[in-house]
Amino acid sequence: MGQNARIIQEKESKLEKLLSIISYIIGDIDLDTVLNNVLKNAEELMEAEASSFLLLNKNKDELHAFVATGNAGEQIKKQDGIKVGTGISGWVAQNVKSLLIKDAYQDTRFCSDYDKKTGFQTKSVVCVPLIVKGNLIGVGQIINKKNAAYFDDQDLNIFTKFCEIAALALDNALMHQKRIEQDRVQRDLELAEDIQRAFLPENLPVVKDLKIDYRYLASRYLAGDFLDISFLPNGNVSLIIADVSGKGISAALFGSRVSHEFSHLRKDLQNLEKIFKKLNNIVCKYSTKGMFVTAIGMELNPNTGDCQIVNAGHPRPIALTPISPKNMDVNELEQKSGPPLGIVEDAEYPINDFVLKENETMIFYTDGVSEAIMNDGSRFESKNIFEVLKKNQFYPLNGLLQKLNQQCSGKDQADDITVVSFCRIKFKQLDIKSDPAELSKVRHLIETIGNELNYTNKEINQINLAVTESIVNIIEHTYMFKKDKDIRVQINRNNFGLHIFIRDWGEKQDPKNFKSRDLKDVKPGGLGVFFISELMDIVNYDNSYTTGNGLHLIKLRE
Amino acid sequence: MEIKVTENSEIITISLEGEIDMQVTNELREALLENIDKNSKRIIVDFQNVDFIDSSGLAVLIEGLKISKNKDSGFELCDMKEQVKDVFNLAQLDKVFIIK
Repeated sequence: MGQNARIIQEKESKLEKLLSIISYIIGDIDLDTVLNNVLKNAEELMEAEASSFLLLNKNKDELHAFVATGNAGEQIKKQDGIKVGTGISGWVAQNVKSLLIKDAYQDTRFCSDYDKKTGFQTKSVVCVPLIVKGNLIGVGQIINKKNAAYFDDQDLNIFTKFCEIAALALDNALMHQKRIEQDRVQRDLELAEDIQRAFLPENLPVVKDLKIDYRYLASRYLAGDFLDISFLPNGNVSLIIADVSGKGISAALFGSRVSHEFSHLRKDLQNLEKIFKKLNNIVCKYSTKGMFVTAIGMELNPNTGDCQIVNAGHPRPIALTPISPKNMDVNELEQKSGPPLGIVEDAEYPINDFVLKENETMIFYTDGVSEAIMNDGSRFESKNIFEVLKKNQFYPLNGLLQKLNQQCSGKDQADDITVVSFCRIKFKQLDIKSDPAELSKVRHLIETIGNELNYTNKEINQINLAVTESIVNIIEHTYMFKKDKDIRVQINRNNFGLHIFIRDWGEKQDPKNFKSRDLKDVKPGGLGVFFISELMDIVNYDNSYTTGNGLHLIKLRE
Repeated sequence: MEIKVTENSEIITISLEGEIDMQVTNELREALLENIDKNSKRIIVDFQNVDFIDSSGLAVLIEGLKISKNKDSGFELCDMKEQVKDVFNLAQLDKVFIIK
């Protein structure tokens, strides 16, 4: 056989081998496995003493080398980064050109550090850029040809083909790894959201004649808004509602720090003015990149309605006074305010006194409400807040969020939304299980309260029927007849009527599915929803909770 | 809820006492079906001591009425308190049942 014929035969056998390993290499998506296969096959195919593949880190402008050590391909070791432009591989990455070097030590681009460290002696090198869809993802190199003094042009050609395949397989594996990483971050964020939610006052202690309620909607998993409602040793209620500039993880972390500092100060100091002054100085100290916090602190005496409020650049609270069954007088509280926390050291935060009268409600909110962008592109603004609150005396928070939902249905929620209400109203709360045996307990409470308020037997029976049907619906449809789930019944009374609020913690329901049957079509079932809407003056489904459902049933006084 | 059944000369009277809601509908349903099965000429459900009924209670009575009709036996309700009668009226069942 002549030399040419032998060369052709050798080339053909290598191409055949190359084809056979294509499917082997690209058949996997795990990065370690793909690297392992690539390294092992490169060495075998090219009859190389060693091989290494370096992946490009674009942010750092570095190549990270994965080399096969010991028995080829058995162990992959990740090395320190090599700057693009340094050494042979760095040159290839910078110029996106292949190199065939017969004697490395004669080449000025060669860096002998690796040889010095390992005792390995580099002689001949083929180094090829790894390119996918026109983008450099790394470089591949083979070192020292076995049974020959150096690599030749034919080796370069074969290795170039090999690297085209290897680049695709590595890119595929990198994408897969990125997806796994993204999934992990996503799970972490969801967990962090759960943790943040756990900080919220989920079960607000019941205070006599003071109904406290809130909603908290993070715009993306983590909110920069924070809220704490607690009870002071003197029996007063303490509130802080705050909004950290920015949102997402950094705002949430900063917020939880500020919230923590507030709780500490609240324990040590009596006076809100002093607490905010200290809190401001702490926030000034920790604030980075111009982060600041708008906040309101309040202490409220539930027996007298006396409030002390300090404001650090936060939207002013709103007071609601019922003037007729369907109308509220709405007033923004005039307040002296200090600057947002974290901007001016030693700033003053004067106390504002206010008295929350019986049947009045006070609303606090963050600017996620007023600055929500509506479908027409304009902002929700405080005038819309006032308009909604005027007409929603029984369920102001739900009314507000329903309106926001309706006006901003087509827009992503741009900012965190927190709303809190304090209402001085006489109410009774009964927590029951989703067991039909509990129904009569609820009816007897309503009967007692109805009698106290001089409702007629007929009216009491009507309310009882509507409430029974509502709870039965929860037991049947939300809790699927499980008997150990929680249901809360709250019976509120003001001058204009009886407001019964029923809350569950089950799967969210779609009010569109609440249907009653045609009365003429006499058959068992399908009357519950009809009774509820027929017997109550106002029926409002409350969809504003993160978990569970609420239902407001109102019987106005004749 | 308590259920008392008295039988005489082809009339079965089922007297109910208490509140009829989801908690007791199974018990009521069994009592009704068992007595309808006896193929008497008339069944009278006595509401004299019933203070409350909800839609699940109505559903059981509608079922009882339909089965009785198929068997050609009478099914009557009697002595309802005003608030219970109101529920039948509201559901337009006062014309469907014989209420005495």
